[in-house]
Amino acid sequence: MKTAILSASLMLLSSAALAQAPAASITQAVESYNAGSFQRAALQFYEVKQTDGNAANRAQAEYYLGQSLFRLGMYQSALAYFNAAFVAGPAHPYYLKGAEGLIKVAEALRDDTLIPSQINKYYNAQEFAAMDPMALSRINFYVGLLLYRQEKYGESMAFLGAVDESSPVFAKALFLQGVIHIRLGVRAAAARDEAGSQREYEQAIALFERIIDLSGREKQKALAAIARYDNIVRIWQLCTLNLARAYYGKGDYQKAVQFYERIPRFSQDWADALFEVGWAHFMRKDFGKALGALHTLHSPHFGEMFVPESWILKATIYFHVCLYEEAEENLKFFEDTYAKMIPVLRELTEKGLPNEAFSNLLLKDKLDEADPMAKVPAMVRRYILENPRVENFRHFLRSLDGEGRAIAETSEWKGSRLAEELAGIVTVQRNLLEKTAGGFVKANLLSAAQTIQGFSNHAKLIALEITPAKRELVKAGVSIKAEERGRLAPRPRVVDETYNYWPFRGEYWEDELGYYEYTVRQACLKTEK
Amino acid sequence: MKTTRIPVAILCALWLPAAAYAQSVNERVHVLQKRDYSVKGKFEIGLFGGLTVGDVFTQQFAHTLTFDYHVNEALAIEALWMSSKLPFANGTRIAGSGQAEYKDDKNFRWGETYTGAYDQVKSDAQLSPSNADLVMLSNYIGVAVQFSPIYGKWSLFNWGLGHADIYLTAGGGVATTDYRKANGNWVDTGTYFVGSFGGGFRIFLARWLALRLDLRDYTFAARVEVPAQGGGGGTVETKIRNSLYLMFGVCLLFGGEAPVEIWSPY
Amino acid sequence: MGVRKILLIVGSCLALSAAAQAVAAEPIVRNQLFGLGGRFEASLTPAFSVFDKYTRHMTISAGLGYFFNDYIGLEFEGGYAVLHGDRSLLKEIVSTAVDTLQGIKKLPLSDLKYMTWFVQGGLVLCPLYGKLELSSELAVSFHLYFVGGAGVADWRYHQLGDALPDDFERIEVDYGVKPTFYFGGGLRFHIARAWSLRLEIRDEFFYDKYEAEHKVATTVEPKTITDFNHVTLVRLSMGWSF
Repeated sequence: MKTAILSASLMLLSSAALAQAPAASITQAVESYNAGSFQRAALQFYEVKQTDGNAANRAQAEYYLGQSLFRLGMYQSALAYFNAAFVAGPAHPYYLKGAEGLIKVAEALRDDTLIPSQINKYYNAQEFAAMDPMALSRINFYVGLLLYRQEKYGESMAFLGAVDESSPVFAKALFLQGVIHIRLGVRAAAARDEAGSQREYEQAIALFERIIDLSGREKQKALAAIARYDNIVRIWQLCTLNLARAYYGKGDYQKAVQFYERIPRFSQDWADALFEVGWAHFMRKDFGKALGALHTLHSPHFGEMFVPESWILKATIYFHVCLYEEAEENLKFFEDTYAKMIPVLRELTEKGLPNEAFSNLLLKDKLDEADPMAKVPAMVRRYILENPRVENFRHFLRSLDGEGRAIAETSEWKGSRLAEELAGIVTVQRNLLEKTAGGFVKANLLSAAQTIQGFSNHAKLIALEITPAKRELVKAGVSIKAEERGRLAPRPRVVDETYNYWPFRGEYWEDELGYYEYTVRQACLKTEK
Repeated sequence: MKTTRIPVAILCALWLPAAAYAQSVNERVHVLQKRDYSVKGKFEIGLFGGLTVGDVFTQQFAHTLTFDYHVNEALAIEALWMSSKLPFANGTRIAGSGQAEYKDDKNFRWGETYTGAYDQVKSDAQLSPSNADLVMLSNYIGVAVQFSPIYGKWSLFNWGLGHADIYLTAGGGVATTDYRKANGNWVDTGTYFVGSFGGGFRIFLARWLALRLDLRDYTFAARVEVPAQGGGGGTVETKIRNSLYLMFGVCLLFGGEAPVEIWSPY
Repeated sequence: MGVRKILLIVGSCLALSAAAQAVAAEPIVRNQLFGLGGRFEASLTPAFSVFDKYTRHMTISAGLGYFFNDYIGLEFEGGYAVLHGDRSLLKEIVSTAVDTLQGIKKLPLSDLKYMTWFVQGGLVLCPLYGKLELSSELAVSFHLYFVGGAGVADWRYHQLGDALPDDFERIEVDYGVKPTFYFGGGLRFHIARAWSLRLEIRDEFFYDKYEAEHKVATTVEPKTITDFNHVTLVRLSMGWSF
């Protein structure tokens, strides 16, 4: 798909274009470029590229046409000419410059898939060695990112490891390596390779700590790091979350909790942290805090968030503290809210709709009733729309629409073959973007259905466990009703006087979110585990 | 903090049980919230302006300078100086026996005035309130203990969040007192011990800035010597007077616990 | 105050509260326990006067309110001053000037009138909802509110007798039923879903044009006193909402 997009652009580019009189010389074109008249320069470079008998001039014109368009903010159009120089290979005098141009366009369009994939396809380590180390680092990072997405972790690590320490993407590259180690840790744990899993988590922790160390853990140095590395503040936040995950993976739940609690409240990672810290508390058998974290996650602040697993966790906790009625209530909620979505999602993904039909979910702000995407449950739609890649798609689309308008409105290009060719590139790209976005939506809908199905099976297992547990109570001659089996645990201790204690009575104060804690009835029989 | 537990527990017992609001009989949900505005270990400097309320004949305007140290969240000690008159300045003394009398020739007593009711009683009704009822505090310096067991928060039209401490205060100090005679001269009625008690609240605008509204009663003995008239001996008129001050202040807080940074790259 | 003015005030308050609800799209408090909107509230209110000049009061009143939304409502109440009369301060002043007051029946002072009964109604505005925590043990939700309104009240005062100072309070004059206004504010503490305790300070006043007497040299001459006559009450009321 990705290759098809670029190929289509190139087909348009290579279609025979008739030169328009009078032909411009490369010198005139360069003069226009240097004078900052990029519209005129683009037109002149285009003429040179099409008509000049000198191959060197044509090659130069091709690259500078891309540059002129880039300077005009017409990134998709620029991409076509940079790509032409790049795929021509080392024989093209602007081969490396073309590769650098591609990365610039990828960043401008926030494209971390199509262009990196193209670079990866034509990656030439020997030739790239001559490239500016900063530009090469960016290329290595994007290729590493692409390979990480394709789950080719070994290859990805090789590219990420080659990123220069002074590159602005160095912190990102380290971060991605840490994430890969976590993935490998999970994989090793699944394969029951405990030592391997521990090793991976430790490496991940060391990498995340190294990224945080880039701040010097001191204000002035941190400010210098912010100026030096791309998006480092966000990377630091993600490191905190991933340190928590790594410690969780290692089985050090106490440390995991510490890091989860450092995620700022109301930040974009907070919902994930709340859910995951719920698990960490659960593993520490701190059920009150686990339920408290889920209480925030299920509060009106988060609205109807797509968090199916949280309800299963809640039911599991109630099961562990022998509050079977509460466990069943949560399973019922899961069944009524999530399990009912499965047929809807299956129907949508299995009825053979083209990818473009799915793209409406992302690209349209309001859906018609007749649109199949209107049937997507609101909770799932929100979940998909909250994916950071959605904004990238929307940015790309806005950029293409803007570029299409700019091409049509450039008076100097009116009626020119250049305008015609660029408009074609944009149209083709827009159509392909819709398909790609649609594919993304479809994959997410499928994933949501599979996730719910997985937890639905888990819910059935819990329900199956509850029945014999209740039977045991009857056998022991004890009431099934929890309130007749034990006393409520006392109120949690106030840490110190700098804390306030408020009883929760159903009223949600925004500032109290994240501070909830449950106490539950001690309903387990002494023999029960 | 522990000292407040017993009376509060009694209050709890009297209050209608909160359990009425719980969601399930098998669980309770609690909020253990780190205070956004902790004062423990902090110093506080406040500048207040205000006036007396409720007195029939006297109307004072005063400013107060306070310096507080918060021993913990609930307890603070405070030193304060309140003034309605330039300290130690009295004007031209008029010769005579008894309590010192001064000509009202300078505007030292910028905050000491009498109400419209006083003028009405004097001029319209041709009556005379007791001189002791006219005595005012001109300068007060003292210490107080502040007890703030109540912490509150609120939202205005369900938008924006405010926080406040509600406190009770009691203390004592010394004050200079005086009153204005019918002829316009001021009489220095002496320096006395003064007891004070009151309450107020501290609205936090930032960790370092708060607004305070303070209602405090100052109790003192107003002793007025009435000089001998003709052949008779002089008399002494003494009354226990209460001056209730409503003061509004701006306070700066510093020191104490560093703000809780839940996350920081540093 | 004309009906138009009253309607204008009510309209402005409703608009303000509607705007407030619109602002609260991202509310601080969700699932608010003690919402007032659409509820009636019956109340019984004992009160006593503070910052008294010459008079003192203890009153008891009963009222009924209705809240259009969480922020604004109307209230009506009627009450009686079970204790009403003069402060000892006035008697003390009079006793020191028996000679000066000979022949004067009506003291030329403002704020001499005291209320006996009153009926009134007005607006209640509750802009602020909060809760208090007492030593990490007890939490109480509250509303801060302001009131303002008008009604009628029966006002009286004491004339001076002939044998001062002993018969100072023997002659009570019915000053009549006057249009009376009030404004104030307080806290409504919610002690249960339906029960609340209100602590309020309220100023009741009417415009008083009073034909008094004073002495010019030795002759008693009439003197007109024009002023607002105030009574400030601290009210502690128990409310039941439904």
